[in-house]
Amino acid sequence: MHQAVKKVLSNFELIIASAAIIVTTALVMLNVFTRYFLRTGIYWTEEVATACFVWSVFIGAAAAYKHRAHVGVDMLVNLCPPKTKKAITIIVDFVLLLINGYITYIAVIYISLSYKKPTPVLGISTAYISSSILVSFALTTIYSVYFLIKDIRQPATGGTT
Amino acid sequence: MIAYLPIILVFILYFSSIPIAYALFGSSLFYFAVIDTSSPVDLILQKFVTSTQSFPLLAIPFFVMAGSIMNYAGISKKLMQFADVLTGHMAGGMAQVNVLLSLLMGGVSGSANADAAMQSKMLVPEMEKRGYDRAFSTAITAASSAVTPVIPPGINLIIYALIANASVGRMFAAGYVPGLIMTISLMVTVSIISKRRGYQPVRETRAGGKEVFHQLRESIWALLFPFGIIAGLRIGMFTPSEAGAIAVLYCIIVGKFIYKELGKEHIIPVLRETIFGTSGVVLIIVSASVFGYYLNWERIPQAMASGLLTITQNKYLMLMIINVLFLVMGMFLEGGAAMIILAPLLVPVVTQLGVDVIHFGLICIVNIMIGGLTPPFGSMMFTCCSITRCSLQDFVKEVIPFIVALLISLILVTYIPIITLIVPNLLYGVA
Repeated sequence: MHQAVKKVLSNFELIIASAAIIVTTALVMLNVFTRYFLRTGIYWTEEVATACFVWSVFIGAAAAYKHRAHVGVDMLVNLCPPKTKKAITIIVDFVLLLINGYITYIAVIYISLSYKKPTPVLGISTAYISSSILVSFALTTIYSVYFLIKDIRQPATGGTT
Repeated sequence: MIAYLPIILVFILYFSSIPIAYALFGSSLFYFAVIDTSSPVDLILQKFVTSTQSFPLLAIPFFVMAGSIMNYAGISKKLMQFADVLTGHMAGGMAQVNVLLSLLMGGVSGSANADAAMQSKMLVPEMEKRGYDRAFSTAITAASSAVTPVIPPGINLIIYALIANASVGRMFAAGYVPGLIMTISLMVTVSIISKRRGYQPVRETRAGGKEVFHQLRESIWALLFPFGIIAGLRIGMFTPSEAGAIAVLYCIIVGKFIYKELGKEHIIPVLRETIFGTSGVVLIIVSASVFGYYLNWERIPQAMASGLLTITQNKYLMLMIINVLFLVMGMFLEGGAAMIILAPLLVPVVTQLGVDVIHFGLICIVNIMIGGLTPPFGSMMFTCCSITRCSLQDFVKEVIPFIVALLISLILVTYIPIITLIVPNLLYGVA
């Protein structure tokens, strides 16, 4: 039981993103079928499908960040001697923290300015969609802090791998 | 000069191991937070919203998912047997199968790296067992995977169509002949090398008609797939994103009820591949759009366009310059990213000189695929070498003839527009 909870927690972004992409796929399929067999499209599918897609992309990006799946080029850094390498790694972690933190900050400003704007079809608050960006970058900011602390604690190793 | 600082910053961040999307975010945010603060910050975030909230973009996860499902449905084995009956009797049979399989896989999967990984695991050990050099096997696997994304429904074809405001259907149709030319040039190269080194055919004689027909029937569901999509788009049955969703459904049905290999255990890996594959690409699109906001703010695209146009007004010379630019960028950047960043800047320049937008798209895509094979940062090179444990030096030595073959294909695609345009023009009429 404990193990299962841990598994769910460590993969919760992937679970959310997967659910969102399943809804997206199902809605678009459904719309094609209703258009051909019932001769009428469902007017809101496109908007909801796109909204779910946006959520899936941004939460998925956070998942990829957590698993360090975004590819970077570490060839030059790996050529450096261990101490320099550690220093660069920490600086890079810090820069990433700044970037993620800053995007989170402007996301808050953006949503506070735009949440009253309704979406074109359903007329619900656009914040339902744009908050995916806030959630995603808030998560990556937290992971950036975690990586920064982890890399500071790690002893300088490697060099020419 | 300070206006160009973010561009330099992108390079610094990128080469200190920051992923390209974050390097682009970082330097554009640096610009708007430090250099020029006159633009309200929420306008930058607006770019995050507008660049993702687009229905056509949904085609990306759908086709990634469809390709992934097809893979788990055991389609690659079927297609390999089909490739084997067609080319197994040639000199260097296994290597020819390797090339042809990439072409066939192109019709179901749109990603070069996925194809490179799959074939490195499936074919390279088998080739080594039959006496092929490991570096040669790895090199041909990587080189042939360059064909996969050129064949519809390649993800890069979709992305380019979205960036350049071109028709996805036309882009799909345009990929066939260039993909075939790349395949043929690789097969000829394989044949020459194999004869010299004495790499044996897999089978003694050409497969009989009966056997070919049997394998054709086995893999027909995968082979028909891209044609169905193009036909559906052409007659206006569905939009490109809807085509993607239908493709997913098709692959599930074929995998579950015809090939009977797809099971519940594949749901999680398929979703994981879809999420990671999509969010990575879309994040790059978002970051390029934020970076483009900075570029446009400083009117850099205009400056670059007029700069390029003062060098030459000659269409052929311009394409040559752009090809070199792309090849260099492709050496350092993952292919998709290079295209997402450069295409919006270059499309206005070339269209002004009378180059067709679709034609230019194929030039870009063939080009960045070659970049994926070269050191120092070629992505297919790394994928294959890390799986087969081939050293980079050996790989580079063996891949050179294949790169030459692909460069010849690139020159043909660049300077003979009809290669690209014949199929779209036949299907859709002359643009």
